[in-house]
Amino acid sequence: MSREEFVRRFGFALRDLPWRTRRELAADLENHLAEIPPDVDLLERLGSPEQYAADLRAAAGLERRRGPIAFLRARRPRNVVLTVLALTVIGLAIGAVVWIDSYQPLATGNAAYEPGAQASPTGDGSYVVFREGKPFHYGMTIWNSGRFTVRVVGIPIEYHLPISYRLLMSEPTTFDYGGIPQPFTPFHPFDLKPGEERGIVLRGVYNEPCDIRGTGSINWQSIPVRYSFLWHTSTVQVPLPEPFAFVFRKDASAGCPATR
Amino acid sequence: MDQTQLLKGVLELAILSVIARGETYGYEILSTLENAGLDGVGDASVYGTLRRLEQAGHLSSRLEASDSGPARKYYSLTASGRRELSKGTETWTRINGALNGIVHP
Repeated sequence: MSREEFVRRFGFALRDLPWRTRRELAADLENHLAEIPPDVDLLERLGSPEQYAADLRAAAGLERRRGPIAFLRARRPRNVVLTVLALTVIGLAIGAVVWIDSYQPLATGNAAYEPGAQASPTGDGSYVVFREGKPFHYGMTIWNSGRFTVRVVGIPIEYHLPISYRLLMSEPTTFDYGGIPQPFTPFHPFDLKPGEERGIVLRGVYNEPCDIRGTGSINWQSIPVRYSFLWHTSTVQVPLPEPFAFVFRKDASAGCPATR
Repeated sequence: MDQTQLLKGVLELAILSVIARGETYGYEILSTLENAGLDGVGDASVYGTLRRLEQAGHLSSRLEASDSGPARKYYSLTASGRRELSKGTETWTRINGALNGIVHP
């Protein structure tokens, strides 16, 4: 057995001891091995590295150590610091990613419908009665209530509404403006700075009644806004300032084919 | 009778006595003990005892560069070590006298 191998196995047998103690004992052993003539059989003189370690442990009164504290003390302090630093950086990075992925500062400021919206009898919103071909525009402001700029990239209304419309947008304004500033231009992605808001307007007519069967209402509680923040892009349902409903007093699909 | 077990009981005294002659290092202590006839003492026992005595404050040590390899660790007695040696010597003398009276009546 080479001397290096002897020292390595000796160190391994004492791996529960504090790193500094182990290093001192290994240095003592290296010094001792350097004094032993090269032609001497190490195993014959010293026994196995494990036996040598056990005898030295007994003579020095070094008890076997167990538990998490002993485990940490047995590690090289520099490695412990580096591991803690690495885990801290990883933890912060994970936290940052989770925070960025969940960052959602968008809210609606106010909303307006024209023409003919009526307050709900229950007082919890407004509604409009569906009439095919009637023009309308419905607008709301999207407000950045957070501390960082986000980019609004779309209003992906995927659920079916009995309307056809164009999506428009206003110039930016501040949240305390209190209205939806004009003029409106076709929607395109825009940055929304902290405290800033923009009007989003759906302008169109009621149509496609054949997709609506029977009477009742379609209730609108929120608007989908697709936005991006740093690398993260997602769609969030931003609650409307107040619920809005399309009410069908009579079967709008009367006269339509049985199926489409 | 197993000489090793007997030696372990007096190894501390033997080591303190060797170091009391003058500053010395591990391998030299080991050689001195072997040359004196205490060849049953294991190397690990000597180095383990040296560490225990040093941790207890009975020995001080210093490293000195060696031409033949790694630095040598030289040990010397502290004041506490000298007191320990004195007490050990006294105890050993008493036990040795008692045992001699029993073994060689």
